[in-house]
Amino acid sequence: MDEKLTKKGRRPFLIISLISNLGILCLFKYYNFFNDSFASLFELLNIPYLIPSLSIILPVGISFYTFQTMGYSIDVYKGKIKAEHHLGYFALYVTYFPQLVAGPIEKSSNLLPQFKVKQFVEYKRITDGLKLMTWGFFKKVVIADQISPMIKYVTDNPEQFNGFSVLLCSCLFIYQIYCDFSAYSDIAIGGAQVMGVRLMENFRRPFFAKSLSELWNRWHISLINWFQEYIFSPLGGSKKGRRKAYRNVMIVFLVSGLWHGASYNFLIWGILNGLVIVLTLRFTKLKSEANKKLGSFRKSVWYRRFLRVKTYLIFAVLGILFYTSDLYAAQVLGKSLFKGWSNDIMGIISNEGNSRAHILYLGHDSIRFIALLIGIMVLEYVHYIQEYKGSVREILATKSVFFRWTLYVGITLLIMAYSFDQEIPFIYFQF
Amino acid sequence: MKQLIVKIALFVFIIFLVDKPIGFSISKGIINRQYDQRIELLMKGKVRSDVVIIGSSRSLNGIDTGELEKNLNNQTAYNFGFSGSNLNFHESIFNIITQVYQPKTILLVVDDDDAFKVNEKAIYRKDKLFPFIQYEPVLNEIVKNSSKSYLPSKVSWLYRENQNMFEAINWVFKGRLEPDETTNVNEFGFIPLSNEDKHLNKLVDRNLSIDYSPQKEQKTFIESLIAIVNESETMGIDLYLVRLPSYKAKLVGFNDRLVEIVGKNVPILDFSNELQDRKYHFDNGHLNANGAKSVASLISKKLNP
Repeated sequence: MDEKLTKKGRRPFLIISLISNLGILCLFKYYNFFNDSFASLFELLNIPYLIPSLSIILPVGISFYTFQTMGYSIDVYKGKIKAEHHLGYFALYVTYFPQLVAGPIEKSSNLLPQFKVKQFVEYKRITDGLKLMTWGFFKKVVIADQISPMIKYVTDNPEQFNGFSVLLCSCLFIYQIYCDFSAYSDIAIGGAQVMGVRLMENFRRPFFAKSLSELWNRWHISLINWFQEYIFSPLGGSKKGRRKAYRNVMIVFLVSGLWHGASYNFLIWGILNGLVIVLTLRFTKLKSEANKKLGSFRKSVWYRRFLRVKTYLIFAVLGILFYTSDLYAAQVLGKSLFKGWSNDIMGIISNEGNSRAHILYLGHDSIRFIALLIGIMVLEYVHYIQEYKGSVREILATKSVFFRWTLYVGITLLIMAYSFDQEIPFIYFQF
Repeated sequence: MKQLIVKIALFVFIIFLVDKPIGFSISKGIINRQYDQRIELLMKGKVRSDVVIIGSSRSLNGIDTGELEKNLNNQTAYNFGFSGSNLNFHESIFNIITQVYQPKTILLVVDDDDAFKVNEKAIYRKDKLFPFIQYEPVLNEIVKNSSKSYLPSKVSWLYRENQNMFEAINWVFKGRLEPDETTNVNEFGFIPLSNEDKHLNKLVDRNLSIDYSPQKEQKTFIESLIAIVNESETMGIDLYLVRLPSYKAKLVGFNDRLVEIVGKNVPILDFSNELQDRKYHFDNGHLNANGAKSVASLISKKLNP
């Protein structure tokens, strides 16, 4: 493609690349969704619909490497990078195993040049990579995998739960998906680092975000950057007036919803996320007036904490659409969110008929629930240090060898202790 | 490079040192937590009975092993029935027992129409085996029937015992589990059920006959039964398939199906048409203490030469 001097000359190659990439993605991921939707529509209209659904398995990580490859093609088309002529390097870029199945979605300008650098054994680089991988395993097995059965406990029988349990389940789910997905990213980044390749940061303490738009700048950063660069900006971004900016935000989140999965749940989840952000943008003036009235309070720690909790709760409630398998279950849990709070609280206090295990522990026993909360507190403490005091690894380097090794051994033992026999795959493998 | 290798080796060594005591503590805690200690007794050499009964709750509650032992000529008997278990699990129990010692006779209670079919109430009871995973025969069966890895389990005690971690902690705070209707075994491994349960359907037409249908049979259950038969033959164990009385319509053709699967050399003790009076039944599938005692007497008549 880059042998053609003009963009016009390169365009047909770009079109072929995009059609083939999107074609594969649509065939495997979206064909059945749209086909079933059309079949339902035709059935509603009493028109015979004879196109059959496909019985095919979705290739693991298809959404990730398709987007990575499309990004490469667009960058070559725009002349931002030179096309890679070495098939081996290009194949390695598309299929680089640490990040192949669940990202981060790397830009070719970052990844390709690194493959051509001769690597040496560097003690610090390797041990730093191993530490990051260990932290990833900790998040996955000690937190995410412990929450997984609790979410299943609720979603298997959504009718059996009231507001408190639904909210708790939603809040825990956000931790599950964060710890699951960011764990994969950490393992991928750490693994690549051991081999001398730096991958981009994919999560930046999203629960410190004070608004949903800030949260999305800290969550799955590589995907959001991709959307920003290849969808939002080409559509005009926020430079062509408010209305177009709102439209562009909605398009990005609509695509984001669909990217996550071919279902109405993900579609609506994407739209609602976009809608909350658009509404926040729309009422910026109102917000700044309200802020003025708050005076010095808005600079206080408590106000910041309030904003964080508010953002987290919005994200958690929207998450109902993410962790339920269909709209019916989402609807049931959504309605339950607003009822039975007093019954739940009384049930937790009285523990009549072991109700606490059902309402509060969501199927776990007290010890396992407390262990989970301790795991989450450790995670939050690490986030706090990273947010306000800098790199945990650098801070640890200043501590005594005994302290550091006790910590490393302790975390490793915890990972071994929590590696139960149920295999819980990474959630984002399905995308 | 040298520094890296030395530190990794040191790290692995420290993990290895700490791993064993933690795994050992979990193992002690979880075994003490169990009320049902039958597998522990087996492993400790305290169960070496001549006649062993394997099956689900129908055998656990349906054969009074104490009574059986009394009626047998100088032979001891023990019940290794586990509530809610399927044939795959029975195969594991068979393997665990026979890896420890070889009983003279094994009675395998077959759950009639549910034996070879998927039934959500009869599953592979990993939870019954995990507390005793420190023992090699138990580990072997868990590895065969779950995603637990063998090699890491051999290398790390903590990994091997990790499934028991929370329950072991519970032992520290709460002590031994309270007995319930699935764990309250007596010295013969048997749990008697008292009288009659409210779920006993008294309206069952006992004269009605239902033809057994092999449809929906699962290959895995049939394979387990065949494996038990073959292993028994190899080891010289007298294996009997037992059909216990139930308060249900008669199942016709099931014996023929059993013969089709295991051949004619395995004796079938069919008591399904015995003890038809309601006084022997706890519910439609389980005998009460009275029924279990009577069945024991019927079995002993067949086993005694």
